[in-house]
Amino acid sequence: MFGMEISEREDWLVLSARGDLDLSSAPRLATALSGLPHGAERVVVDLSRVDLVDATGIGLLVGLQQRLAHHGGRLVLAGCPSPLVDRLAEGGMGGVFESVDSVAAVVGAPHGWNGPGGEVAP
Amino acid sequence: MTVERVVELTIPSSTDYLALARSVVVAAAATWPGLGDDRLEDLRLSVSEACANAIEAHALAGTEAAVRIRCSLADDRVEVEVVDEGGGFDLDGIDALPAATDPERLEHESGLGIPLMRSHSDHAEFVSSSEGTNVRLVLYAPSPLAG
Repeated sequence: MFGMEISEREDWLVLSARGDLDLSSAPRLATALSGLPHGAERVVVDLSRVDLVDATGIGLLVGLQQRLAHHGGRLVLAGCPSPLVDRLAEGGMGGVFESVDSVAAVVGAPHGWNGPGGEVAP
Repeated sequence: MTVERVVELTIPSSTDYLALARSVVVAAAATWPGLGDDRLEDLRLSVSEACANAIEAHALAGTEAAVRIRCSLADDRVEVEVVDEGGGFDLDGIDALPAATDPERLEHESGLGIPLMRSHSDHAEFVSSSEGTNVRLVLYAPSPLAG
């Protein structure tokens, strides 16, 4: 069963997903993504409680990444399940997404984010 | 002598049954000692992609036909067939998309399912026509199993 919570923490928009991110949950995720505040620039998607991300889910994340990059924003994936990391790497997308171990690595990290164009601290 | 066990499943063409389909196939495959957890995860994703494509094909074709899934466990392999009655697809069109490592690939949010099935199974075969599509996925055991 898929679920998603959206919260604002400091200057980050945090999307916390759980369950399977697949074709069946895609419409709900797409609706949530399309409802993000216009101009949102710093978005972190917490995938630590996600069991499966299929091609549809990857496509939605790619779309969000493109949308944010278009206006200078950034998308960070937190807590990526290792199969997803492998899958992105195999798909040539290993370097496309910024990835951190947990949301805490960017939200509240004093030097974790240097603004658009910056780097997420390891 | 080859010993084959078969589990067959027919699901309504709805994404509501996607999780059920992959759960049944993986549970069946888990009764067979040939695949470890990582490979079961590969199977789970591959079957999910095949079923998702079938459900989408039925929606595009406007048919309410069921999606048929057949999982056979042989001595040396798990083989899954997913059969739909959609309108088929042009495999050459999928292959014509930019390569996975091409930055332009990111402009295409769809069409990832077939590359994923190919990369997560040992053999993926697609036979598609206007009558429907038959996807055959094979994952081999590391070595022949006894019994």
